[in-house]
Amino acid sequence: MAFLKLVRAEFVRTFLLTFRYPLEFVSGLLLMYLFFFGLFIGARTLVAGGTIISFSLSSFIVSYLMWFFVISALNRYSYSIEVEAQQGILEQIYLNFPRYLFLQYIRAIVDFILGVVFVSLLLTMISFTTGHFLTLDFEASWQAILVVVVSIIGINGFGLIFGGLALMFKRIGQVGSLMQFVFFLLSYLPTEQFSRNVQFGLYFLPLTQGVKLLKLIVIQGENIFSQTNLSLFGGLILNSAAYFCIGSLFFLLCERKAKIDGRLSQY
Amino acid sequence: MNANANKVNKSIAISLKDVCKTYYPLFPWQKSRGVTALRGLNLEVERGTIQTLLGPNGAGKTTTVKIIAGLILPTSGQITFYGNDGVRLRERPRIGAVLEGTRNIYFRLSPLENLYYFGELKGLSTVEIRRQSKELLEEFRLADRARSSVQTLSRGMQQKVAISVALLGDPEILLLDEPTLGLDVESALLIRNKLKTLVNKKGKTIVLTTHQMDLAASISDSVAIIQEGALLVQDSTVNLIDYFKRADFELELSRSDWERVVGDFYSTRFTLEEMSENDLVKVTFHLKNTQEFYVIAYRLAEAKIAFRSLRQVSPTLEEVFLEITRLHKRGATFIERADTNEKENAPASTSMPEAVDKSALRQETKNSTEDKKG
Repeated sequence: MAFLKLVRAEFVRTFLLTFRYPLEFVSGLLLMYLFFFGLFIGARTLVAGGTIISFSLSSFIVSYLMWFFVISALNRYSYSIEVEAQQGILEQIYLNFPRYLFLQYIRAIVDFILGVVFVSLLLTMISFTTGHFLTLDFEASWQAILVVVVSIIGINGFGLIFGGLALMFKRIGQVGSLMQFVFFLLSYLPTEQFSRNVQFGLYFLPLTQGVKLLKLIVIQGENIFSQTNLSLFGGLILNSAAYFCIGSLFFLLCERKAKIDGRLSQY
Repeated sequence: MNANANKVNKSIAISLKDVCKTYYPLFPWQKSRGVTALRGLNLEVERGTIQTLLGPNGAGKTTTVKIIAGLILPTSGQITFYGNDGVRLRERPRIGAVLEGTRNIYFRLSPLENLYYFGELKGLSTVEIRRQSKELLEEFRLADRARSSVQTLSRGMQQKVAISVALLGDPEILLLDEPTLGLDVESALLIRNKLKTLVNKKGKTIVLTTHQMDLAASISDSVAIIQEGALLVQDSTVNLIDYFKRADFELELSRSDWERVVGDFYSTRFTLEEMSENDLVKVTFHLKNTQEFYVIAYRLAEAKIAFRSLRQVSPTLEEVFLEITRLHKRGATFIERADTNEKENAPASTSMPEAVDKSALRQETKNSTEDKKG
């Protein structure tokens, strides 16, 4: 009950802060839409003859939407900590709800739900502009969502590492921006083209397994619970759980260090 | 363990014992550059009182308040609330705080939205949040702006919203950093009265830091002066002022009467002030002790001088504060006194005023000769 109350409180807060200035939300959506076409046109010019087949476009869209979730999960902790420390709210939150990490988990859930709404709008705009629609049946849809959720949990681990660093250093926006591009690269890695040894190594990287599974579901219509894909999905769960635990632990250590050094309100 | 050691004084809301705090740079190899904010601070705040922390900038006031709030961990020392360990989350009482001026709330949200959000964080039920929000908004005269964005409100209103948020959930202890700084007279008065009501009617314990001596003097039950991370003195405002009361007496009398007796006082230090009305003058005698005034009174009586008013001049809290910090800089230490009779045995001091019965302090000069030279 208390958990649901907190989810509601965070949902209302996020919703109000997002939509109090609707132009900000709309411009964010347009920016992501235009960025997609920037990338799309750039990618087209790299393809011989300037033609891009349906398969590649679907793959491109899936990777792009996945990347959106990734950057949201990656930056949300450090961004919110930076902003709230700057505004002096961080201390007030700590005072009223000392289990701050738990609150951050709730915020991550709320952000993900709002992110799904954002991505749905973005996907609709992209689909109407390109005339290319991703068709998914019910089973494929929930499997895709499952893969996205599990992948994003792992990325949240990274986000928590940046959040912990933000608690101690406050201004780490540039590191976050740099990591966005690293994850951009990871989300577009053509994993299927690598040798078996390299593919084994990719198990340990974040995101790559999630993108690979998502492409199998959305583009090739495969089932993640089939015998061949189950090990891949199991690997993704372990990978995400490990990154999430490491991130949470690191965040708690940074939080303690920030309290010792009196850095919660410093900016 | 001694049975007495287990006895807990529940009338003490907050107790800090030998609390030290050193801020170290982030990296271990820079440890030598640490800055010490508190050096063995001892402070006790009684339940249901307003405790003001005074001190120059960098004295350690904000660090003290944040340690009480649990936002900063002390390097060493002990903090207890009502006798319970103050570090364990479960044993901490409900604490409300406004530590960053008006910046402790979401500026994009309205006062009502802020109250709802922080109410949920505090674990209050929706019904309770609604009831308390309504009460607080009305008490702070914010009801008509309850749905406006906080950033559109005046600074005074923003401060009131921040205090309302801190008061939500009926906290036992309230911590305020400069609560009336930069506010207009009306808003400052409203907040001042509200704080008094909270203590007198609801038994709350308030710890506040301020540089506004008039605020400290008007609402504090106890004043603690902190300098260089250590407590110099902690006592009631009345006692502190009494202790530093000079043997200065102010008389108002007619100019002709004064001119008649002035020759008798050439060996006494006094200042003369012309008064605009009815040819009056104000004479302030600066005496070494109160006994000297009896001699003056006797001479005036002998000359059949009728004076219009007579009062002993009390120092302001600001003057007391400046005097204490000045004495500390000159090497004086202040020790809390359990028994006023100890005063008789206290080492001689040239810089402190004469002993006053109400005093709870004793001063020892580390270097009385240096003091004498001064």
